[in-house]
Amino acid sequence: MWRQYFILFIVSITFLLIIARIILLQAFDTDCFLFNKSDCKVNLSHVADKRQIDHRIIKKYRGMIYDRNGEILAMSLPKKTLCINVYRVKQLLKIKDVKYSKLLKMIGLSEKDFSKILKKHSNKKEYYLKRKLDDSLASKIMDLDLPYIYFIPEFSRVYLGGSYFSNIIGFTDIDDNGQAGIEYSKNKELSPTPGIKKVRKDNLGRSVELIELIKKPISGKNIYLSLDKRIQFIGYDILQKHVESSNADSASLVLIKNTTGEIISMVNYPSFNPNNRQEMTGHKIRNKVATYTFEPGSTMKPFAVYTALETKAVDYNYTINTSLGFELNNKPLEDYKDLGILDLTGIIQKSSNIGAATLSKKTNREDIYNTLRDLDFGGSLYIDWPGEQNGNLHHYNHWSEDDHASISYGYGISATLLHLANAYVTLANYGKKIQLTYEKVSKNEIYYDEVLSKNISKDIIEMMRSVVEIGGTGRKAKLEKYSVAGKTGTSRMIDSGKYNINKHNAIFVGIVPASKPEYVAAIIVRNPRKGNASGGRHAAPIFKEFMSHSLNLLRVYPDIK
Amino acid sequence: MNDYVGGTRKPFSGLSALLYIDARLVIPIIIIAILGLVTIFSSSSGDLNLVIKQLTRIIIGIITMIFIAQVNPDNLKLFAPILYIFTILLLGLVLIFGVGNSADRWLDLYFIRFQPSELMKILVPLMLATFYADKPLPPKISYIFVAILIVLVPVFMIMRQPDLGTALLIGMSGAIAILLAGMSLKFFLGSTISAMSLIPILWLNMHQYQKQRVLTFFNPESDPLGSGYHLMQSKIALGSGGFFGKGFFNGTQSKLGFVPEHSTDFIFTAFGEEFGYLGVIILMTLYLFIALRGLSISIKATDNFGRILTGTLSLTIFLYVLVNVGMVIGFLPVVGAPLPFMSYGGTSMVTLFATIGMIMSIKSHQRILRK
Repeated sequence: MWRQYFILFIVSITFLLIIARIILLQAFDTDCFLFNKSDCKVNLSHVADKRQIDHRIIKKYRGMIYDRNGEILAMSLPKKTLCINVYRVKQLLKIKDVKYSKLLKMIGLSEKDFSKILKKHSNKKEYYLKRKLDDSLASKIMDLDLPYIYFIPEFSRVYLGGSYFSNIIGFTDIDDNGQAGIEYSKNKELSPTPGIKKVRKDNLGRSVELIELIKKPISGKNIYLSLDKRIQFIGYDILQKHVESSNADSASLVLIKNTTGEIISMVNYPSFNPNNRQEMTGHKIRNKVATYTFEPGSTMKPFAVYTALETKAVDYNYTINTSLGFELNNKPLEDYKDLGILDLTGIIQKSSNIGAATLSKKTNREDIYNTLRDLDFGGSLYIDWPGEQNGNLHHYNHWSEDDHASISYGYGISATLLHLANAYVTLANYGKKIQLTYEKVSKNEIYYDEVLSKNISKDIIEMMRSVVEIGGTGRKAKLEKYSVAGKTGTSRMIDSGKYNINKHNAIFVGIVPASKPEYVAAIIVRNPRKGNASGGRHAAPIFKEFMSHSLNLLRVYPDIK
Repeated sequence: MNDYVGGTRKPFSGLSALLYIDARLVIPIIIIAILGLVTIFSSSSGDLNLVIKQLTRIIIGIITMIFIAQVNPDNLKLFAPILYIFTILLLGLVLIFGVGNSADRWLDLYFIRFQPSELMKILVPLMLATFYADKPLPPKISYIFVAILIVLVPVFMIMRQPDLGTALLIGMSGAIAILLAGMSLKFFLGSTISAMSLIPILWLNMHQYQKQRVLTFFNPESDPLGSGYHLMQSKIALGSGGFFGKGFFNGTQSKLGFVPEHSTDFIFTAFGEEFGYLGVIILMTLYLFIALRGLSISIKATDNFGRILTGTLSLTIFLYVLVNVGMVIGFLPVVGAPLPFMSYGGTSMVTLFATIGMIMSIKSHQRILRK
């Protein structure tokens, strides 16, 4: 009988030990027993929670960018990012042969690169295998049901403004941080605030249940630009046409509503496709309106006349015989032809260098400097643009005798197209300076700073009307239904520190309607190669074409019957 | 002693008597099977397909059980040697043409149960009982050596497959049968010592992953992502179940995939997490009841064959329970053994019901004789 008892004894002992062990595990919630004190786990339910509960970041939309009429220019679409727990996959592949080849084919990754990733990031719990996949591909991958592969939601940026807006709006990097343009300068407002949630996750790291929302995510703020999508499109197409026909390097234009300081359109051609990352390099991505400086040339003449009048260096009846010439740097200064006797209007209309230089010499240096300084030349425009340039305006103490003369026709000073437009906006506001902005502004946010004399400003605008009339340099800018006060400009480009006599910037700035200014447009064509480069020949026609299309859309009342 | 008359059945009242079914044995089994279905439903997050498949297997198992219960033990005895030798030949074929590597076996554990090794779980006790049936007890030492050979041949063949878990279980059930048949204390001690000395040989014959499992059993933290990881997760699941359990459908540790094989080998863990200590004790009591009922049938058996067969089979079933539970609570190495009547899987379910059928056949046919 001992055998039966022996078996019974062995079986009962085992049974009792097992029951004791279960009591320890379940009733006392511990794995610890006499012999494994060193590496046992107490409080097992807590341990279970620790393995299952995780804190996850909740991402939200980056703010949208709208134009002034509520048209979407940039928005974020939800995408799925494929993550892999490299650490676990490596451990798994040691004991088991799991085939990831189907997945790799789907996302276009070679087996070689995949094993490289596994090697390089062997301790990573979360590695982004492929960013921002479409939902359809993501669900196909999910159907493969591979271990330690999961998705996290992300957003990808889509630009509906295309090339027309790309160097204005800019772009974001893969992590949705603004890298250029408005995406960069307004990154703080546009960026969402991520939230945190407490979730239960499964063994593969996928969250299966929301336990608690710890911090609510906040989506980024939407931004309404002052820019008008329609005008932008018109401007871009016209610039493209003219750059191609004149074989120029590039061209830019800016249109500003002078009563509010809002930039209605800011165009640079050539541009790039914002939905193609390969194109996001080089000069095409720059908004040259604010970042490219040049010597403004003859477009500075109205300000030379202004200062002369304001400081009473000359009076309104002043005339000059340009045939007498002007000596600069021991060389005679020349106009493009003998312009004879000119009054102040004539100097502006015919764009006489000799006339402007003579006026400048009669005016105190300090006064010239102060006027230009008041108009923000050489200083910041405070428009919050990445890479914005201030240009150069040297202090009058450093001016040579020649500088004193040449600054009147725009040499020895440099500015961006936006600076130039800014100065003309002040003129158009009859001396009241206004803060320029690319964001939509409401009426009660507008502040003026009176920097120029109201009456003299009006007179200068009146003089500038002659530029587009017969005998003026900007005849090609004359509009049928609107009066125009404009100024042409042509300046030599600087090539490696020297003036290049074959390369020019052709510039035109215009105020419309001249009788009651509402809009200021500034245009620059860089290095046009067809015909003798000049503001009148290459920039003025762009002004005409652009404004005659735009003013109607902007509902400006025609002042010419 | 051996002259009971088979086939002279008399009409009995009641369906169970008519079908030679022992209600006290069947009812706890049915309860356990239902608990298994519930756990599979929960740990698969409500996959009715699995439940229906398992239910089908249970029904097939019950039909098999009823069928075998009708078979006269004499016929069992008659067919035992033929079936045994046939299955040995099948095992040989598996060794020659065997497929599958160790990694495959670990995950798709229930596939290999379609191999002859599962059949051996019944055939070894049956063959031993047949062998001892007409021998005087206690047996001569030479008989014991033959019996040991009957056990070791299939055990080694299965070990080479390699399926250490099944081999060990068959070896142990063989040892129980030999022990029940009887031997002298001196011989028992001698053979135990020599068996112990065989352990190094066994170790050298083991595959690397098998050694690894045994090693991680002694130090689970050394391999937190291998089988030690499974063990840790299993223990954490059981522990977090607590006294009353997390409740039906709330066993997160099992359902979220932290516990591996939560419907097959680790179903006890899934059950324990959801139903707690209370549920586990009820389950263990049911198993204990089955074993005691089997042993009581064994003691009442009127001949060697019946006594050895029923005793071995009911102890073997209980041994399976102990091995499985011991495995998931980190008491024994992870060897890959299903929990009887609960684990998801076809062959094991049918084999176990067949075992119960044999016990019933012995019991009911004996009762006729005693009348």
